[in-house]
Amino acid sequence: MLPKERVRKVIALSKPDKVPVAPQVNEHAARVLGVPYGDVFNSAELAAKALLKCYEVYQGVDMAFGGGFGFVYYSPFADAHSSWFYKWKLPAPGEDKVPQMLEEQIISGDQYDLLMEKGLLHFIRPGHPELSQFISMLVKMAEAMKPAEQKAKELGLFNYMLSLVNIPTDIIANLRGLNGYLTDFYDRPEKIKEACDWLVDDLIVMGLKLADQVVAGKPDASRTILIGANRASASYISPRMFEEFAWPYFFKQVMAVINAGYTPVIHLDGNWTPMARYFRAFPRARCLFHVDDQNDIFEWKKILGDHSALMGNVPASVLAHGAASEVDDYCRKLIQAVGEGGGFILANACALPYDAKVENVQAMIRASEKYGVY
Amino acid sequence: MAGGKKEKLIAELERINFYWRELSEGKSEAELEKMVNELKQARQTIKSIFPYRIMSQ
Repeated sequence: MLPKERVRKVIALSKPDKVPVAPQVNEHAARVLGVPYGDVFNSAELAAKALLKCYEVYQGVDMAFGGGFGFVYYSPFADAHSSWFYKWKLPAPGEDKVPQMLEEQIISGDQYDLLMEKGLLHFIRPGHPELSQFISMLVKMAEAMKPAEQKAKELGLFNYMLSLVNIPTDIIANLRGLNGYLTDFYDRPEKIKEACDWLVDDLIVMGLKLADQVVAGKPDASRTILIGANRASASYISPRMFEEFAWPYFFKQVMAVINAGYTPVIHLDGNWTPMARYFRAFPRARCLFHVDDQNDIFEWKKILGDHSALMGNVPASVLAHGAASEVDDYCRKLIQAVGEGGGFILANACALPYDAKVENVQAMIRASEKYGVY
Repeated sequence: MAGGKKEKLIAELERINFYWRELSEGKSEAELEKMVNELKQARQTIKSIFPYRIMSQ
């Protein structure tokens, strides 16, 4: 069975031959190649080389590797990673550090109307990237990544994401800063809803159009759109607040992605366990929930296991600081409990930590073979 | 008249960018004019890539 067929079976909630395994290498790819991350971040050629090295070192995976190259930070897309709108400290060549967002309050609580009147382009930061730099990076990346994409195709791997849709409250949180965002739920709740109404449809269309463009160039790619969410989790707000301020928009976005013929890969950072019950409102066997290590995935299995596929969530701390035997033990527990009956993909939480030990990632892959055969 | 032009450029910068105060501080008229033109060009190009209301009305 090809890896992409295995993953599709999991999403459809039918039992494949084994539990798929899908480490997301992202920045960690530089470690595998043995160079400072700043080198990979700033060079499409090195980033592609790092991904190819990962395919060599991490054999037996079911999803394609991505990330590494920094072009997303230079993109003027309405996303938290864009240094056009948000303050980022990005690694220079030779610097062995990962990008760091310096979160701040950009707009005050009285400036929601300004945001909705002027639009995001009004908030282009001083010292923003040059547009020519972004376009040049995009062109270089398209060319340099071809061998890595070809390798993924040869291996029959599933694509984690072709495009992304942010939920409106995350964009508001990034613009208001965490403190402003949280106090606005009490001081100006109607403004949050007004801004969410203003954002939601365009965020959907932007994500869908980008995915359509990628599919046009890669017709055999898995049709996936990542829906990323963090600040509406129970790490920040209550389920009642989620239901009132985030859920209506979240639901609309996921349904739009499904209705357009894509699989939503719902990438949840923060603790969403108290919100998992809401997600039974989505059509059964159409979504993949990738949850990070703040989630009790064993509880998720009880709440949603008969409804949607789950992916996760070996903790970053175990992958970076644990022994390979601890990774093996953790993966065994996940496979035996969450993988029971199918509907599970073994993976890291969020993405692999930059400093994950190579032997630990290999232990995760081997665990899917040792314990995951149905 | 030169001062009038600088004020107009600052007013235009305020119209198109949230950070107009920081951007205009200590800038000459020529520097301001270059900055306004570059910002307008960047906005126009991005708007053509992402022609959505949330990017610009």
